[in-house]
Amino acid sequence: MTQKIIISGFGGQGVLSAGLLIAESAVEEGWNATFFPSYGAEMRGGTANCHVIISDSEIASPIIKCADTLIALNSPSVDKFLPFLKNDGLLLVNSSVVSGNLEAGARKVVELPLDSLALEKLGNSKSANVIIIGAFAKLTNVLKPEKIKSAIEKKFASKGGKIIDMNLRALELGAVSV
Amino acid sequence: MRKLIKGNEAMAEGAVIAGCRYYFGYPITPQNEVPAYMSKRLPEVGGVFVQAESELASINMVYGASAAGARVMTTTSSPGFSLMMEGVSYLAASRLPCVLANVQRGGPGLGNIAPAQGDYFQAVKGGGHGDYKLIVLAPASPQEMMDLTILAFELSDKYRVPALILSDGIIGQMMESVDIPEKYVPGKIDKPWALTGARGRSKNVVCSLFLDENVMQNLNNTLQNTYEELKKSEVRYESFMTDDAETVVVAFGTPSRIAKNAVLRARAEGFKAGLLRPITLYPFPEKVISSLIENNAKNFLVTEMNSGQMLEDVKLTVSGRADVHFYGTTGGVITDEDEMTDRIIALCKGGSRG
Repeated sequence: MTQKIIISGFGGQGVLSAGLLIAESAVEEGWNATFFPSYGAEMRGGTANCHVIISDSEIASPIIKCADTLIALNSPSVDKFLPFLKNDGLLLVNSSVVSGNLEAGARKVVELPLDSLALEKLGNSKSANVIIIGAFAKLTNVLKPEKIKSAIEKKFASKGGKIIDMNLRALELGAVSV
Repeated sequence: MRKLIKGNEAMAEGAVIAGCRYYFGYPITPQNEVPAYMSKRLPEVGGVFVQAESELASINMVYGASAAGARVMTTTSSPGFSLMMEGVSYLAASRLPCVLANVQRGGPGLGNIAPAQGDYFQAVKGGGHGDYKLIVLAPASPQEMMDLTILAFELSDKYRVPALILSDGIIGQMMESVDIPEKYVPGKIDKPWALTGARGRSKNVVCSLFLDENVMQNLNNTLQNTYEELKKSEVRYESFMTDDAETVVVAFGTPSRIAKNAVLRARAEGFKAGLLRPITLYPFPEKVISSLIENNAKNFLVTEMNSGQMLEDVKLTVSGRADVHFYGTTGGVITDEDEMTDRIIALCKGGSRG
């Protein structure tokens, strides 16, 4: 099993944290994981992104040429990375921000209004990136929810119970929304 | 302890584990995580972090700390390493141990911040002026960024030769699980030459100026003898599926990771392919290349993210006994796995040399 995921969006949408959380959850699972961030100059409004590969075998290059899943949190990300999503891949889109026709071909497209979901159901838009991980885990079945939960508990251990609880609710919300 | 961390952070923590308490550096992408980490970590363990005013200052601070007998490190990326060259030559001539790292980026010139391997010649052939070599280690994962940094401190102290971690932007920036040793005891190596205060003993002098040409020649002989010792005792490499391989990819750093997959894909189609990954670029693993030729290897496919630098060392070693081919990318473009697989298979189909 190898799953290659590209996550992209505006700086500040939690793109890198989301990618890291997926990689950390995979490590909780006992798998191999690589995480490769864009470390260059990204424009405001542009495409901060990361490449995450999780696998039960050794991972060669951490750079993804042909992704299984693209998580696009804004429109420029769809434009830039859709060509790197395989023909039967999964496209997860933040429909609060991305509008217009997605020319995704035979790919499976799942649209979630992350920002409004987060605001309405969680009262704060900060954990929109965790909602989409919940959706990703449900749709792909590659990560067990309890492993993501324990990764969240470790990641936010220093931030206290409230923050952990909000992220766990966001994870759950993502899973039930798809 | 197993932890998901960046290659650059693994290198920095490796230095701390090896007993390094002095770090001097100047920022440059893609290695900025090292000074960032050291600025927080070294004060925690009683060490000293200084952001120098330039790379020239950094390397000369390294000279000072090393002359005083300390374990010391600086890190940089390609253009910064060029700036350090004078100091590196002085360190080598003064036989001062230290650990340097070049997390390579696209060049020449100011280039870009993408990963590359264009500094191989500069790393393994000396780099600065004069007849010297560095111990050059090439990590291919965050784990090796840590392990080889620890090793670099031990080897450098043992042989009194500066050691260089020659990495690239991908290995530095990527995160992967790293096993962090919890009970490492840094080697205790006597440094009777160090400037520790001369009360009660005759004075030590650390310098690289020897106006008497015979004295200078003696120093050169000492250096060359040390390099011979390194060639005898410290060569390191990884062989992957080379036992019966007819076509052997030779690659280090990032391209070696990609080569592993390409070799597996060629094997899946029934072709006898393998990978030789030099871990020490200096001393270069010459003997294993000869034994591969005696074994079964007909073709070598050198793959680098430059226009063919290690290629020359492979050709020198092969010396006409097998065919040597090259696949390279430059300017920060990353090795393509499909293309490498195609080239391996084409060479395997071509059979023995005509």
